[in-house]
Amino acid sequence: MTKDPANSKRRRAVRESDTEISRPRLLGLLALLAVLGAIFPFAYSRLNRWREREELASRQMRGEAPVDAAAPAANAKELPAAQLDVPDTFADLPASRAEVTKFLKEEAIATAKKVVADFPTEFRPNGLLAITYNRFGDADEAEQCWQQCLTANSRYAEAYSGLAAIAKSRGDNEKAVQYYRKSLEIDPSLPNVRAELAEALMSLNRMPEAAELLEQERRTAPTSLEAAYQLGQAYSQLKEYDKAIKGYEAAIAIDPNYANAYYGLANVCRRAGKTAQAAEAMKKFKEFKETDIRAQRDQSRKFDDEGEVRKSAAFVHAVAGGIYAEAGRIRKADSHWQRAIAIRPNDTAARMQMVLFHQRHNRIADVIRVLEELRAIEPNDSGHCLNLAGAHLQLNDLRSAESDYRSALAIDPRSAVACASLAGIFLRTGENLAEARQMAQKALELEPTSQNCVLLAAICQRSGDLPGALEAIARARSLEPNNPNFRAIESQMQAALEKSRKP
Amino acid sequence: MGLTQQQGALGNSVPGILRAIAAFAWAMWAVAPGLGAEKCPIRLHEVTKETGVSFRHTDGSSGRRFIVETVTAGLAVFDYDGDGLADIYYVNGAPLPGCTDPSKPKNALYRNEGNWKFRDVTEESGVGDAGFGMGVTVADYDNDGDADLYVSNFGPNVLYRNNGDGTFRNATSEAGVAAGDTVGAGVAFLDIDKDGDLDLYAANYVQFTFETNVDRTVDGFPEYAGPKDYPHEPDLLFRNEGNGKFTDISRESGIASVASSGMGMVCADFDRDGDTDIFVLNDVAGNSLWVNDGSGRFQNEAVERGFAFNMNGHELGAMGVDCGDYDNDGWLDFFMTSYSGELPVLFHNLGDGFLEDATLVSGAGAGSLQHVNWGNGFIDFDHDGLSDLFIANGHLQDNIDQYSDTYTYKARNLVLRNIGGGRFSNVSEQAGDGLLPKHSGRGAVFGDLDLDGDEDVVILNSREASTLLRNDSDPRNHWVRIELRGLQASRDAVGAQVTVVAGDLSQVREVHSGRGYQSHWGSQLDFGLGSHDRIDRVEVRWLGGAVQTIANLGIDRRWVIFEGRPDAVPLERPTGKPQD
Repeated sequence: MTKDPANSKRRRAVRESDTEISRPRLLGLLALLAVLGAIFPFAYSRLNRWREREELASRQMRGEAPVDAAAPAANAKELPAAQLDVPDTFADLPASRAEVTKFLKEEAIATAKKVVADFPTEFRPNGLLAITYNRFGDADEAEQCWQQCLTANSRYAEAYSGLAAIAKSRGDNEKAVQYYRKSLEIDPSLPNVRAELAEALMSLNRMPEAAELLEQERRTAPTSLEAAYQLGQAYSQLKEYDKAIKGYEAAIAIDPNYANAYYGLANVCRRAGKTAQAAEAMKKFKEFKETDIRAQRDQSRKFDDEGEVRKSAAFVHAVAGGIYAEAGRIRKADSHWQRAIAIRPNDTAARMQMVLFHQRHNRIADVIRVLEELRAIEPNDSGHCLNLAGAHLQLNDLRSAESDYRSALAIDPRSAVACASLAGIFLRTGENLAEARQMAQKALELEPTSQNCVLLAAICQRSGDLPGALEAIARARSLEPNNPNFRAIESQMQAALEKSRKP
Repeated sequence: MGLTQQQGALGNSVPGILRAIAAFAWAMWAVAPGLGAEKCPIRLHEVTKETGVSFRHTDGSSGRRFIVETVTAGLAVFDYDGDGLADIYYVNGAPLPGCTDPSKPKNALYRNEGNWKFRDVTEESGVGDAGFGMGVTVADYDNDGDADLYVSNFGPNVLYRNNGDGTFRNATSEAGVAAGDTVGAGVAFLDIDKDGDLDLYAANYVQFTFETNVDRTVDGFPEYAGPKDYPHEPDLLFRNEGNGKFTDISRESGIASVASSGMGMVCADFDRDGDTDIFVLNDVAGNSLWVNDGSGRFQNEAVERGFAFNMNGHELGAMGVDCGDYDNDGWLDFFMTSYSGELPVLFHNLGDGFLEDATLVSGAGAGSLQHVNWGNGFIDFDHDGLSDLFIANGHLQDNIDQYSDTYTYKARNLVLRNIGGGRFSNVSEQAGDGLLPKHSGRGAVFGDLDLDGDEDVVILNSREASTLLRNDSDPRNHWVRIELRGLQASRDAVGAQVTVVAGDLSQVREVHSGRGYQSHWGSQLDFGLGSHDRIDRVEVRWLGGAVQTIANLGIDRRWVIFEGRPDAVPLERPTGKPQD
């Protein structure tokens, strides 16, 4: 994995604004929360907020605006009354390959513009239009759209991030820093913004500021590859080689195949006089770099312009559908999702939106149906397995959920969520407690969070290992010292332990 | 005699008073409200129209978008007739299949007639190669006292041997350096084995034929394919046998062991071990650093030494590279230009055989991100004793404006002023009207075209006329220009390093043949001295290790230092007539 796909230089201009869809882990998390919530009610509300944060993150990664708290919440059981809204109809795609890209680009922009027109007082449609313009190389228009968003809602953090990204692509890092800071001020939980801000600061040779920010990010997002790697870069530039080494080593711990981190590590180790470690890291770098270069060359040769435009156009329809669905205009939403799939039969963005929609309306069978389609389209994406597991858990189908989690782990053995969730299922059923403990420990190792400590504590307690449970809760407390619940639980457990020791 | 020539000539004889007057006048102008209120001492003024240079570059395009169109071409500044005035040689493209341009483009040589007048002497000099030109280098490869030319082509390369009378003859066949039928790139003469004969390195780009042309589109817009779309090609190294013939030693020297996508190059003794190493940029493939073992055998150690990639370990769309000591620490550093969306890279020489990416901490990437950067040079425009950076810009996708408003096909060039402490500042907005025009630049070269002591600029623009910039920077600072004449070493002393010490200012330069973006300049080494009014010591490290020291060299003059001779010889004021 490389941080920056800068290697195909001719494609650079369009790649920067590429709209990749990330897999939400929402349903997988929901499953874990359901399990944990049943056992630790005190933790549930906190984890629920965690879930909200995850949802927000996943939406942001998809380029969507966050759900407006003030927007009418869709009823979990009933479809909104406006579902009879007239669906959009779309023209047939041109037969000529040469014309398809132009046609779809125009359709994408027109679609985003239509959403803006349909929701004139909302800020999110302008966000979609901004992303669309930016994707097709019109940064000036994109900038205006982000500004429009801010006119409608001056607290729209993503708009500041969008403006910052445009400023950064123009080399105006001063402006980028201002926008990123504003964005973080409004929403400190926005993913990747600190890392982006740090990169802009580094471009301005403000290394100490960048390092400080990245240290913060490392504390709040210990699994952020970007933060760890960039921390190495910042300290390397500051010639604080020991700290730089720690940064690169953290990045490698997160992604052991990350070639560039080995490169940084080799260089700082050499400068720090650690020649053996430098040589070892350089060897690794060369190994991974060769693979990367081959893969990129391959990718460059396989570059499918029409496919990329189809993907982007489908994405716009997917998000447009999401906005209509949220407003209760279900048929219109569905017509956009179907259009996305017509444009790109294997499209995942529209299907993800459909999953979210069905999930919101508690149509779990539909959720599972669409997720199965997603799994068939992307068999190597563990996220789909996690989501399927979550859906099965909602149906109380623990066996299927367990199987889904095992599939997720087969694809990604380092999935902390899958480990924790499996442990949660065993905890709930009371079966395989030994494996449950193993899984909880692995989850904690992969993601040292207080939630995973609590899970381990619960399993230990269930297995009769009160000292183990106490140790896990103590760790949770050290991770979240201000959480009063952990203190209370610890006291309860302490009392129970003392009681059990009395003859 | 033109004003600038007068300045140069008078400057040599009565430097004190006139220099003070010039400096006062400049200072008044520089601070006059509305004229040049910014306190940037660098001023580049465009003089193209008055020079008589009518060269127009062609890339031979017809809309079929062959990759070779994007990378042509470099140029050279050198004194072909030995009259003391630097002349200009432009490399040109040629019509490619489908091109209906009725003109018959060819390379062109413009003789410097003095006073910013140039005359096209292509026909009479015999250097108007009509091949599809890519790069050029210059050196006296036969040690007969005149400058020879080597041109790389898409197709066979060409060696022009100087007859010493203002004419050249094509010596390619007899020398054996046609280098096959490849897509050529940067070229350089260097003495790989310190035998006094200049050997020849010829980089190659990719394996391309019209039949294997790759068609690409972006968002439906046609686009030139990139170097990853074609197989790579090894570079070539020729050993000079000393009898006018060269032998291909690519395989035995180690050079043939790597196939890549060569672009600009420069040769330099970066580790000061007494032999010349070879720096070749490779387009999106990781650069090569061929470390010389002293005997003319090389090993590519670019990755380990820190030259292959930028600080992130990324291979960039590398274009041109120059060499200079930007922080005056005595070690040669390297500046590499790159593609849009990437920063160029300043490789700081750590002095222990390793280089580190100092782009961010130095500010050397300022203003470059949106442009494809090509020709570049470490040039001390204002003679303050610190090497500034000049960067020629322009995209290679001629229709980029149609699908991106972040990048533009035509762009302004950049000047980054070295402000000391290892930092650069983008002064392009304040550095004169020469930085205003937008073109799609490729090669850029530098030389004292008007003999006023400072470095002027010539840029080859793709599909357009070239640009000539007169350096009108603050003349208050002192300078010295030095040429070397080798006896044991090659006559041009390619590979020799000169250190000039003036008080607390110590600067090092090396004589290169071939540098920047597939171009050549710099046979005369230019040292800015700032306010230092005397030179304490000049030290020459001839290739092979002999060290010669000369004390008390006069300032604001040109000197020739002969190998083994204890004193320097002032370079005579040019007669404007070719040498005998």
